Amino acid sequence: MGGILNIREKLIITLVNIFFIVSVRKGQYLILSLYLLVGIFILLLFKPDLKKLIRRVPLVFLYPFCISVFIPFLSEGRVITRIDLRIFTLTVTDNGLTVFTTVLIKSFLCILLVASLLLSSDEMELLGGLRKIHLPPIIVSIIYLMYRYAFLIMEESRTRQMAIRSRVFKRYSYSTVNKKMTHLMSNLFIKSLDRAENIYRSMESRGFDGNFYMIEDKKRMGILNVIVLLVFILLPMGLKTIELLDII
Amino acid sequence: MENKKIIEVKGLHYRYPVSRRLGGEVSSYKEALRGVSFSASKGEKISIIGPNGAGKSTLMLNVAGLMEEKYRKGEIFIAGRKLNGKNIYDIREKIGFVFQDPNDQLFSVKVFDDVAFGLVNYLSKKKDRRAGDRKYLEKIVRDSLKKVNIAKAEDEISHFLSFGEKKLVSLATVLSYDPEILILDEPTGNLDPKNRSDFIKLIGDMEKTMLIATHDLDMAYDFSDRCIVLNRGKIVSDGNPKKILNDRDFLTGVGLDLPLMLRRISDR
Repeated sequence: MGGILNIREKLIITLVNIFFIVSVRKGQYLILSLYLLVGIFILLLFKPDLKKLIRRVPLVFLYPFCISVFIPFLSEGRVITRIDLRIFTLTVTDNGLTVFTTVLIKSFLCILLVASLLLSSDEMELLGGLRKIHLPPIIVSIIYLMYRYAFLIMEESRTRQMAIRSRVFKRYSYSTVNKKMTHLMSNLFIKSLDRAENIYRSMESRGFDGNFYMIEDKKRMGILNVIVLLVFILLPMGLKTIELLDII
Repeated sequence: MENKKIIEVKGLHYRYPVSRRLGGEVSSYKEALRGVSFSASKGEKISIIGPNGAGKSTLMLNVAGLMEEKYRKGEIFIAGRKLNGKNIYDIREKIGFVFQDPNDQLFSVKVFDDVAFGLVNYLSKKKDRRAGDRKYLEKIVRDSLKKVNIAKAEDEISHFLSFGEKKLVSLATVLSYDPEILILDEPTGNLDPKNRSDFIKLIGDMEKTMLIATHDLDMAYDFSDRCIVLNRGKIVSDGNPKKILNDRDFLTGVGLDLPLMLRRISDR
């Protein structure tokens, strides 16, 4: 995992590029394709597991796709086509389609960047990186705790599911399963409250005064890292300038 | 063992709010501790035993200053200083609390962060530069883990450790800042026989004042200098564990029984 960059540089490159991708105006397909090129370079630099990347990106992409699928029907503009559904008529506008495709391309590029960052870094490294780019400690600590306790909650849930299953002697109906799952969820909620209280006590007992002090690795930045970082910050900035000056 | 009193508890009452009226006012309470008084000398190892719901954990949490002050009556002195809201953070530095469930104690993802947590907090509070000195912290963490016989675990992910290992790491999380008093809640609970005896040997070798809440009467019998028996929030006996834990009638009366090793002898 990794490549030549450390987590802070990877985070900065990812966030800067996402910022510029999101700021691209609608219908700037050429600029977006150049961002795709930059994205591919970043991908080569981060060296994520390609198999996992190919599996993960389409899966996550479904989410923005489902959200934006109504954009062509809701935006104002020149009507391209009408779909008569008897009860109501859907109109597809040119503006709607442009916004829709722009949103999809932007989402794809952002997901590609985030996925390559996540797949090329260790979770703990990533949390440390968030801290290094001066994200408020409380936010990093909350993510930290969530990550730690996700395992425990899953384990609790698994144990309870097994406890339910161990006393099931016939095939349950869908509604009964749902009812049992609701009980399980409420139980987990109470358990997590209880757990939160205990964790807070354990932190308090070790001098926690409301401030999280993170231990940082102080590694120096090499000249190559600085150059790579600068290139990948200047590239999207250059593309933004091209976009703003309407050069292409 | 020095005769200097390091813990003094005088007439401690603690009640938990049970129900509240609309508006948040507490309408009823449950008395967990009713006038508990005892003291502990430096280096003394005290077992606190009693049936479930006797108030053992509440007592220990109060001594560590981890319970709400407004529900508490009575006085607690740690190393001669009266525990109150103002000096709580200074006093906690002297106390290492190891929770019953290590998953409550080990909240960080990696062992290193958890073991260093208390130390970093105390050093940061004192504005000590070593709080940011990774090499120094690494050394202390390594030493603390070595003390509990689980060296080279600093980069492990806490969740994937075995229960016994988690217990040991939990102990290391408090040893890192070298507290004078160790408070252990059910230290041998859920441990297999080998891990149990290793854990008892480990804490037995430590020259620290210890308060141990336990249902493991064999451990209390073998290990402790003194034994306090709690029942329904009151101390019903305080003295030599060999004497208290041999008295079957007394133990049965407070909902306990003889330690296993003595039961075999008495049943013969």
